[in-house]
Amino acid sequence: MDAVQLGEGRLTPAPGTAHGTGRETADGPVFVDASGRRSRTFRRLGMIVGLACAVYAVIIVATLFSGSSDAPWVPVPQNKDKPAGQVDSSPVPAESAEPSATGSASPDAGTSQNATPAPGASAEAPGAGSATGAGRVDSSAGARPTTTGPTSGTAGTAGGTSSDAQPSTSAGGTETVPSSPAGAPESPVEGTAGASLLNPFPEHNL
Amino acid sequence: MRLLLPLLVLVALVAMLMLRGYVHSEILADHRIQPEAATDKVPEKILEGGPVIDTRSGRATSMRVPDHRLVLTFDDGPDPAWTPKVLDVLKEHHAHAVFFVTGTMTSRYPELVKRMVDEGHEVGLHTFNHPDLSYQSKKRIDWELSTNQLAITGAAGIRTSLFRPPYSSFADAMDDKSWPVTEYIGTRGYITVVNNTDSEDWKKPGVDEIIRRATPHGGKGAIVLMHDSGGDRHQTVQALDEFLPMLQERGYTFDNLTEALDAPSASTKVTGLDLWKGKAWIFMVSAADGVTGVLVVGLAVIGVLVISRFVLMLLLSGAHARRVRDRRFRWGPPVTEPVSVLVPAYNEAKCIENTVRSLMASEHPIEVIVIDDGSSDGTARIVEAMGLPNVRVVRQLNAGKPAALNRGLANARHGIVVMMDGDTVFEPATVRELVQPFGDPRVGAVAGNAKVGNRDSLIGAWQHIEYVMGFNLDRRMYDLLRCMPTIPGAVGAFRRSALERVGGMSDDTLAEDTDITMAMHRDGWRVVYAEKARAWTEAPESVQQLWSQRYRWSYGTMQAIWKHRRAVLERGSSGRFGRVGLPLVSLFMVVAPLLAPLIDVFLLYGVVFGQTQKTIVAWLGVLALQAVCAAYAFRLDKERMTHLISLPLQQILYRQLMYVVLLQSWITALTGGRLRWQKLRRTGVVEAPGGPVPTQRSRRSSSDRRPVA
Repeated sequence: MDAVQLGEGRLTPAPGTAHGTGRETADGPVFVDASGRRSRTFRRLGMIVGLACAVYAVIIVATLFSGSSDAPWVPVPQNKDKPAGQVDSSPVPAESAEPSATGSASPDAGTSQNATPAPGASAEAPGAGSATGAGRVDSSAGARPTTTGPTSGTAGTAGGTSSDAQPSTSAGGTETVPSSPAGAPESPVEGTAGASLLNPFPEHNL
Repeated sequence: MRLLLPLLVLVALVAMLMLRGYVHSEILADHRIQPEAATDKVPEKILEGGPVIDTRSGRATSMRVPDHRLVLTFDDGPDPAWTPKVLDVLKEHHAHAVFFVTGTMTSRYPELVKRMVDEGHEVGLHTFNHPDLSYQSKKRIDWELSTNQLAITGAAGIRTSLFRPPYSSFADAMDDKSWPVTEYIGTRGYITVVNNTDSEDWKKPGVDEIIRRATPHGGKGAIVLMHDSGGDRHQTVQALDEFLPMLQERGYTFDNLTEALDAPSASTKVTGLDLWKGKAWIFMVSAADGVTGVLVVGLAVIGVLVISRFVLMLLLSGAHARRVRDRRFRWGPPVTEPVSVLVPAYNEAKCIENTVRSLMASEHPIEVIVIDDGSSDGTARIVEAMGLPNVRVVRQLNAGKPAALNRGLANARHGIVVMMDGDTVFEPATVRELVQPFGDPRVGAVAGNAKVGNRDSLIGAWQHIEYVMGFNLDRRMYDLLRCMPTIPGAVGAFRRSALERVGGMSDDTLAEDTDITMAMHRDGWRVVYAEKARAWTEAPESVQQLWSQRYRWSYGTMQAIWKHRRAVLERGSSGRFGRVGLPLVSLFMVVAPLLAPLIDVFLLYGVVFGQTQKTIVAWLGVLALQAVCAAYAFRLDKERMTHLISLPLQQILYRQLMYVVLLQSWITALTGGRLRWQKLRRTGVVEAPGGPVPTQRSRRSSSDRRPVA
């Protein structure tokens, strides 16, 4: 009663069956890879993919939430509410020939007229410094040294080119601004010195 | 590890979808616009001042553009269609401009912003996705600014200090709602730039009108508002082409803002970590766009598949039913010869008696062979103790179902063989109905109509719906298309000679029923569906058992498809199956379930982030379609419709379970692991209606072994 049939009860394909259309026997179960090689490959692949996904999600969060909303400081010229004509006094040398006439703040009177008003000019220098405070306020209020050279220091007006003509004066001019209280006694000396260099009437210098 | 990877992929996918939604202004977008308010809190000099407002460091000053200088400004860009054209026109006429770009568009088209910077234009902030800042909190404003900068850094490697608020106009339009925003913006270090000349080009009033409105009077300097995005801007481009040379002849120069003010550039180069953060942002946005693009294609594919399957099902099953129910329809001469019924059994002590007794009530002459596959619960003895005349018991050492069936085949005496499971219960007419199609000599195998007996529990009801609508409706369709993929192991019949030709059952796959059916097709036999051959089967009652069963089916089907893949290239009937049947089966049974999760992903996304109403309506529409199909299937099978009530829930929970199953089978298939044969725990709760078989009602909870890979 308990007899067990042994052996494979498998049917053998009938001889002469067209095996092209007949069934194929796979060597062992389909997909199974006993060597484990495919498993290792896919495991590695899976780890890479998983890592990439995790990194992606983390970086999104990091970049989105760690930004700052500040703007880098850039100086912008103040053009006060002047009549249009004066607003952009161009750096034409002809204009700088009449510094007193235009009341231009830049101590760049490169002509002989500077000789006599030298003390006056230098006296103006600190005053000019404060008068053009509007223009230079940017540099001092921003509490940063001028980042882009002389142009900003001289309020971006015509002073740019004219200051080039008299490097010493403008250098003195920029220097006076931050240290105007302390530098005030110096400026007359510098002003005269600068003026004297260009003074075609040397007899007035003594 | 198995769970971690899919979870990580899902997280990344969700992150990508949300990122894409963010840069397409679907998430976090605020479209409210503040109505005008009073202006008593705005300083007079601002209202009467120029369009460049400096509120940094507590100041409140404004500046004008010097005479004969025009600053063109373009808002809301970059736009892939029109910004390049605008840039071309500006380049041609040696003009510079300022572009106030949004973070969303910059993130999507970073190369355009880079081009702007390279060609000497200035770039300013316009927030990330264009909300009215007077409605937003300070935190939100900071967020808008920092993400906008992030996008610009990634695109062009700079940070900008210019800002234009969305929905701005002239300086005298500042009011009590927008002025505090401008002040706050200043504390962050930005210069606010509005405009004083509105070309109104977005209204598309015609090229001449645009030029007229954009031209300032009396040689004055101006900041002109124009648009390079947000619609058809060809008038803008044309207007620029005429406007630029015209005004240049009159002595105007077209500068960017800081050039016009003779100030150093408002763009600052970014280096180091911040630059890399920006670049990372741009990279991730483009990755998100690319991947979601692919997913959308996948969604379209699955959508087409689902709809076409419904249509095919309705059409073809109707045709099949009509054909076989036609009074004049005959398979061939009636089959009256006795058949062999094979019942492979492994530990079926609870059900085997029911099964065999149901067979005894059969109206067709049969011999029953019960093959005991090395049971340990005395299954064989129970059968022998019944002492029935035409029932034989064959024992073997445990070797699996295919081997048991083969042994049964070897012991069978008749030319037609019926195969069933040890827990299936037949009706008296089942065997007769099952074998009639063999009157047609071309028929090699017949599939019966497997029914779920335990359909009153929720999980049973779901499977009941699945069997009636999915399996049986599908079988009618596949019958007509001549590509039936599976004869159910619970009720199927084969021509013995056909089985011998293909070499009997094989244990190459876990789905030996699918395997043998495909082999039949390739050998040129017809495989048909006998709708009246009903058999009652016990569906798994616990989630674990169900999962285990479907895991086997899913993995086994993939194995069988892969095993028979050469049929695609062969000729004759094998080729026909390989080129029509196999692709159809692969499409509906492997590809569709693989892509189906996309439906849920996009459904969730649409409901939470997108247009909630539309998404829900679409989902309800698909559900309605499925209900119609299900109702049709139930009617064809003459089933009661009451069980359809659980259809909506089935769509939400049951389908998701199948995803996990499918994922597992793919992983197992790819990694080459070996599965152990998993057995359903029998509880003996199934009976054929109106049958003489006594019922045993004993439910017991089971703790199944986990399938191992």
